[in-house]
Amino acid sequence: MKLYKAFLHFLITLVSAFAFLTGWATLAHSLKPTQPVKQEALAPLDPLPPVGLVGNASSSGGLQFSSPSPRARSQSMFVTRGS
Amino acid sequence: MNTFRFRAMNTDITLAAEGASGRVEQGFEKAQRYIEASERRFTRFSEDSELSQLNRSAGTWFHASADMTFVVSLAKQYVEQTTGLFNPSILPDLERVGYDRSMDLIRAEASMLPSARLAPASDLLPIDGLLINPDENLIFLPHGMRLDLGGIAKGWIAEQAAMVLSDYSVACLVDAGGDMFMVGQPEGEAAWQIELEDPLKPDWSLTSLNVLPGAVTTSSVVKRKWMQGDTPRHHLIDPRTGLPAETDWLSVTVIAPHADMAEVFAKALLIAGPQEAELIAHNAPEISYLAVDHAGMIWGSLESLEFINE
Repeated sequence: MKLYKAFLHFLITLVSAFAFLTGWATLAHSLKPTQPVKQEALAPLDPLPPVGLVGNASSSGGLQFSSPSPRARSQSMFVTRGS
Repeated sequence: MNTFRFRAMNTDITLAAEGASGRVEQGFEKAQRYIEASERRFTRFSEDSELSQLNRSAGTWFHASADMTFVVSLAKQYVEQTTGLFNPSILPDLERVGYDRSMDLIRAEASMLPSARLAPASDLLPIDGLLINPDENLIFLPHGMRLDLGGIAKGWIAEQAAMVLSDYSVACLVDAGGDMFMVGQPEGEAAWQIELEDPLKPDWSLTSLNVLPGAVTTSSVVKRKWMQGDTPRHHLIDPRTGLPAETDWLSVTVIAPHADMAEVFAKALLIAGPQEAELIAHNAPEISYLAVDHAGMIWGSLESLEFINE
């Protein structure tokens, strides 16, 4: 019985030591938290539309913009209007 | 920027150009002559025009000019691209609802057919029956088909006139009653600045657009309108009903590489309205559009945002 207990103690100690060393080695070779992530992995995002212009999307995919404020014409000499 | 204004094609024409004064004046004269000659070819309000002769030739092959063959070919192509919302063969329907003479005459006379005499709309003939032999400039209209090339021809003429004017200027613009075409860029400017008219208040603008050389066209249901008896009418016929389109939008502005394309899609998208516009626009990835509804709200494609000058 004593021999059996001693064997179990030895086995538990051996497994614990092996697990500890394996964990140490795994962590030692993994990426450190301070290591920078490579930038090219991220695709650039599309620019956001101007705030205040975009309203609802219609069911067909067109956009409904917010209501503009009509202004007396002054800036340009060219005007697009229906015929 | 030098400008020159005159009236042709039943609308106001504006020519604008930058360059040496004498050359620009010469260009204005050439462009005006080109527009007036083209009007004589494409108008449906003159019995002598080439278009009227073509319409009278239905059932036989007609020997057309190269310009007529080209514009009719474009028109046929756009019928398919707009899934039939643009159709040049709606002329009988246009006349049936009273647009049987020039808008200048309609406005001057102000009296139209009473509604009671309105005949029912007839089904449009299949556009496949319109045959074109581009090599020999031959066009065949099936019996009963007559064409109205008003809008598409106006856009095409505006672009051709701009090309004429560009030979005499550094940068130029032709505006033919809603159809604009720009060549080059104004000196010191990154783009042409075009105001978008409020269809409810013609002296006001809703926003301004920064547009590169190419076409901008606005189609509207508030300009060419009249009373037929006690029924209000406008000139945009919905080919599906044979009647003036009932649409949630008052005007549509299209930015496109070519003026005929801008004109056709402005019309088709206006008829389509908010429910179908994006599906139609999907068939022409090169266009962007903005629409104004009855509440003065602006709608549009995502691509149009890049043109809006806040």
